[in-house]
Amino acid sequence: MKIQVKNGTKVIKGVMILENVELELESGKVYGLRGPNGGGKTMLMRLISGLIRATEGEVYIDGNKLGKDIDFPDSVGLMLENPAFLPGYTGLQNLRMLARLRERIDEAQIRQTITDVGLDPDDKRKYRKYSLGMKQRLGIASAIMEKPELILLDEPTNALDEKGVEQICKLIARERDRGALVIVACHDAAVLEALSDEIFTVAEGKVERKAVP
Amino acid sequence: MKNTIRSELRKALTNKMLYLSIGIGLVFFGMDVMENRATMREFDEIIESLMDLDFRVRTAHTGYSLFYLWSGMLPATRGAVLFYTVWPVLAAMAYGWSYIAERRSGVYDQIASRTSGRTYYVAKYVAVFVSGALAVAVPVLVGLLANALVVPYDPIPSGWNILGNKNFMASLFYESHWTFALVWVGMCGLFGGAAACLCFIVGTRLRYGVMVILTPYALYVGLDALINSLRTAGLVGTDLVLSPMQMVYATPGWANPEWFLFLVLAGLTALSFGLGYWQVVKHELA
Repeated sequence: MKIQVKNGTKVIKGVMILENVELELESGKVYGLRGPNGGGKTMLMRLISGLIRATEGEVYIDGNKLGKDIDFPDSVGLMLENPAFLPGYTGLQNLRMLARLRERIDEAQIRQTITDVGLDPDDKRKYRKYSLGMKQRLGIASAIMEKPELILLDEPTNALDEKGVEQICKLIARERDRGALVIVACHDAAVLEALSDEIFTVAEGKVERKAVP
Repeated sequence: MKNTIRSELRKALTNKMLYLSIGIGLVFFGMDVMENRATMREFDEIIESLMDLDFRVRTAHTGYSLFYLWSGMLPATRGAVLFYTVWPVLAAMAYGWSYIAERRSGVYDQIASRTSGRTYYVAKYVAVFVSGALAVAVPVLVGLLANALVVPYDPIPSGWNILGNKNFMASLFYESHWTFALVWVGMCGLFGGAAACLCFIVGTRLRYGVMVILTPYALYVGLDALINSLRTAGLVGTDLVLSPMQMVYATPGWANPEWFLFLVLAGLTALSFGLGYWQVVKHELA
C-alpha cells in the first residue's frame, strides 16, 4: 500500500486545521505523529482514513483518489480519539457486530484478537462497565482484528499500565512485520521512538518530518 | 449493503428503547381497554334493567361494535387519546436517536470505514423505519386484540356511514371488518416508520438525543397548527385530513382516499431520506 497526501489542506468553519500537507507513506512501516493538542494529528488521520475530505489537495491510496475513486481505503482499521463501541454490548459482541459487516474473519479470529490485546473474550461485562484501559485495548483489537493494510491508532497507549503498553507495542510491531502500514499518534516520546520507523511533527496544521530513530 | 442492513436491524430490534417505547404504548392501550370495558359494563347494566322491564332488546343491534370503537378508528378513550397525541415521540424514541448517538460517539467511524458513509446511512434509515413502525403498530394491534375481548364484534351496517365512500378502503371496511382493521394496523406502522425517520432531517446538528426524539413531534404539531389556521382562514378545504398527526387513525367522517395517504407517506419518507442523505454526502461532519 502506498499513501500520498498532496497539498492536503483542511479548513473547518474558517479555521485552518491542516495546511499544505505533503506525505508519502508505504507498507511495512510504522509512522509516528507527535505534536501539541489541537495541532492536527487526529485530523490528519481522519483525512487519510477517508472520514473527512480535504478542502484543497488530494489523498491517494494506491493511486486511487479518496472521495473520487474510492470513499474509504479498502482495508483500514482505526481507533481515533476515544475508542467507541455500543455500550450495551460486550466486547465480543461489539467486535462480532463490526466483523459481520465485511465477513473477512471468523469467530475464532475475533476471539484470538481479543486475547492478543489482553482481554477475555468470554467476559460477560457490557462495554459500559469496562475500565478505560479495557476500552483502549478493545479499540486496538477492533483496529487490527481484520488484518487491515492500513492501521490508524490515535493515542493507543492512553490509560494502559506499563505491561499493557509493552503488549500493545509488540502488537503494533507484529502488524508492521506482517506488512501493514501503521500510523500512530502518541504523546509519549519514548514509546513513539521505540515504535516508529519515521516520526512526523504535526503542529498548527503543518507536518514536518522529524527524525528517523 | 445486505450485511450492514442486517447488522443495523439486529441493533434496532435488540435495543431497550424499542421495548420501552412499545411498553408505553401498551400502557396507553391498557387504559383504553379498561375504559371500554367499563363502558360495556354500564351498557350491560342498562340492558339488564331493560330486560327486567321485559323489553326485547337483546335481539337488537347493541349500538357498540369493536370495529368502530377500536381506537384505530376512533380514539375516544383517555388512553387512546394519549397514545394518538404522543405517537410520533414513541416512534422516534424506539431507535430514531441512534444516528446522532453513533455519529457523536465515534461508532460511525468504525462502521463507515468498513462499509461507507452512504451504506451506513441507508442501513440506519431502514432500521429506524422498521423500529418506528413496530413502536406504533404493535401497541395498536395489541389494543385491537385486547379490545376484542371486551367489546362485541357486531358487524356495522353500511347504512351507518362510519367511513365515507371516498375514505381509505371504505368498501373493505364494510365487507370485512377484521381485514380492514389489520390493514389499518399496517398503515399505522408505515406512519410510525415515516415519523421516526424525520429524525434524520436534523442530521447531527442538535446537541442532545432527546431533542432529536422530539423533532418529528415538533414538526407534526407545527404542521397541525399551520393546517388548522389555514382551514380557519378558509385557505384549505375541509375534505381531506392534511395533518399527518391525525392521519394515523382512520378519520371517520373525513375523506382520505388511498392515493392521498400513500402520497403523504411517500412525501414524508422522501423528505427525511433526501435531507439526511444530502447531509451525509455534502457535510461530512454533520
